[in-house]
Amino acid sequence: MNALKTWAASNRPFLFFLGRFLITFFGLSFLYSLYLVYVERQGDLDLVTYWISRGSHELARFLGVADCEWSCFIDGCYVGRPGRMVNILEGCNGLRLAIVYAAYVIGIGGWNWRSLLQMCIGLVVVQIFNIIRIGSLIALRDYGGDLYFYFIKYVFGVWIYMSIIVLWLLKPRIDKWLGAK
Amino acid sequence: MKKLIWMCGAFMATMAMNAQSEELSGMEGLFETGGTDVFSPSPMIGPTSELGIIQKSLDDMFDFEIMDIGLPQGIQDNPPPPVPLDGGLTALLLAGGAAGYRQYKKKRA
Repeated sequence: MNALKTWAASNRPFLFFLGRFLITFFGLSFLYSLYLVYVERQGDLDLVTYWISRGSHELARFLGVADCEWSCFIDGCYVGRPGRMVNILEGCNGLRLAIVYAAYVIGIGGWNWRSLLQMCIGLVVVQIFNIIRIGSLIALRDYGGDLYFYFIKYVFGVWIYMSIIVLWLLKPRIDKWLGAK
Repeated sequence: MKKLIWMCGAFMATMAMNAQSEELSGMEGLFETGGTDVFSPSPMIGPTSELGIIQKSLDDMFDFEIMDIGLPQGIQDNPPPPVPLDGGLTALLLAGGAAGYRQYKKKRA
């Protein structure tokens, strides 16, 4: 018990970070869940999934997927060539991961304008990574073969998680650019 | 003696009741017209009667209608795979904690 108290006393800033990190994560997740409940009651699809699927559709077309179709329903969107479509659900939109990223930024920097700016830019960057992930998946599914399943299972999961960790590791440098001491 | 008289009376009464019911059974077919029982309610619930219309309207009330929900071609036979991300959320939270700890250790050093 004494060892724990000594550790807590010497790592007080880390414990404050942990508190801010978790409170921000659960707070933002709660707000997002409220939004999802509201959207469900309206009988609508959430806007993040809508825009992610739309961006993925545009990217897939840019990557050369011919006859790429895009249709959204209450439970998600279908993008791709008929018969080789990809189902983009709420869990695929990457917003929960973006919330973890934002919680880290707030946890480290506290509630100030630099953190809020990084949070907003980070949200956009994570979503861009996600659009690249889903757009490439649609193109790979159109291409055919086992490559798609290999990528969906291993490569793109690592891709999106690594993008967030790299953004976290770059944070001190971004702070310096923004003029933090 | 009294007992014997009572028993005789009861026997006579039973016989009389049996005879009456036999007489009534002879009335079968009295109210029948051409094979259709007049007292049966079935002719009242014909398709054109008021009750028949209600019955008919209630028949399909709780059946599922097969509706075309307009899914794109090929989805019904081969559902497209979802591309979820939530699997590693806990791992990412732990990684965030670790990255934060590393950052504070660096600051302290």
